[in-house]
Amino acid sequence: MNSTLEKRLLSILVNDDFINYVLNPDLILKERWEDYLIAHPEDIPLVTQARQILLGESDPKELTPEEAFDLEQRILNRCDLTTV
Amino acid sequence: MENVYLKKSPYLNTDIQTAELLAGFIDGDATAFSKLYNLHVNMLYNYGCKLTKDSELLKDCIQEVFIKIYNKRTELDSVTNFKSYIIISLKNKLCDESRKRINLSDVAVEELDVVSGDTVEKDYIDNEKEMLDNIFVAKILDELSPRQRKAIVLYYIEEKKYEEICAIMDMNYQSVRNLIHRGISKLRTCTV
Repeated sequence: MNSTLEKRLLSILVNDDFINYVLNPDLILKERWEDYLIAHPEDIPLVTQARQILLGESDPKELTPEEAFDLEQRILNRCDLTTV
Repeated sequence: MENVYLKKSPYLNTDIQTAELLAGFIDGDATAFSKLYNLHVNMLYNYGCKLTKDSELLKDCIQEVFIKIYNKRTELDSVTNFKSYIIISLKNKLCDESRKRINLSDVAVEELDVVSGDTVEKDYIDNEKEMLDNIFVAKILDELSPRQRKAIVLYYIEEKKYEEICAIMDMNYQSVRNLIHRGISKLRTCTV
């Protein structure tokens, strides 16, 4: 992906409205984004890609179980919850 | 249009579980906090990987998001959707860190002008653009080796002279020039 497309993808991914549209849609957001895609069909691939990233549908990256455990312990230590 | 998105998400079927855990956590069940973490950490990690290639920075930011959640647990009952809340929290944290990393210092509070109503929208757009630029620059800089990144940040962002960079990085003049030149060449290939 070239830098222009990557920047456009990032701009969608960091958009609070878009995040809510994907993860917590209401009628207003749904209508707004569907109108946007009707007006800008060229952005459908990017919006679809951004949506797949947020929903973990396309080759999602994951922490290893060890990394996830270590990070959890760091968080629990900082919250004084080591006995959980 | 909606048919494009009918593919099943591995994250969405956790909504009911999330709501139950969140309610338990707000009521003081500490184990629910741990379960919330395990249920969502990979969703955050996957999203964050698109904003930064620095895995350690990303893990640090995820850590801060969960610590914030823990510290603000009494306020979480006003959160309408936990997933979008933590994703936006992570995004904001990564933006803050990106800004710090590329050394764009914040304006001191006393230097800020009170904005008028008609400039609020422009300021919002400017802030969004700056946030995006910061993330993009930080992401591009992640392509460099730590020494290349440091030299380029010192030269182009902090506007240090070659002699100052030599002293800071304990390198000779030609090595610093070579380091910056190789870094710029690498950045050019990344931004084509």
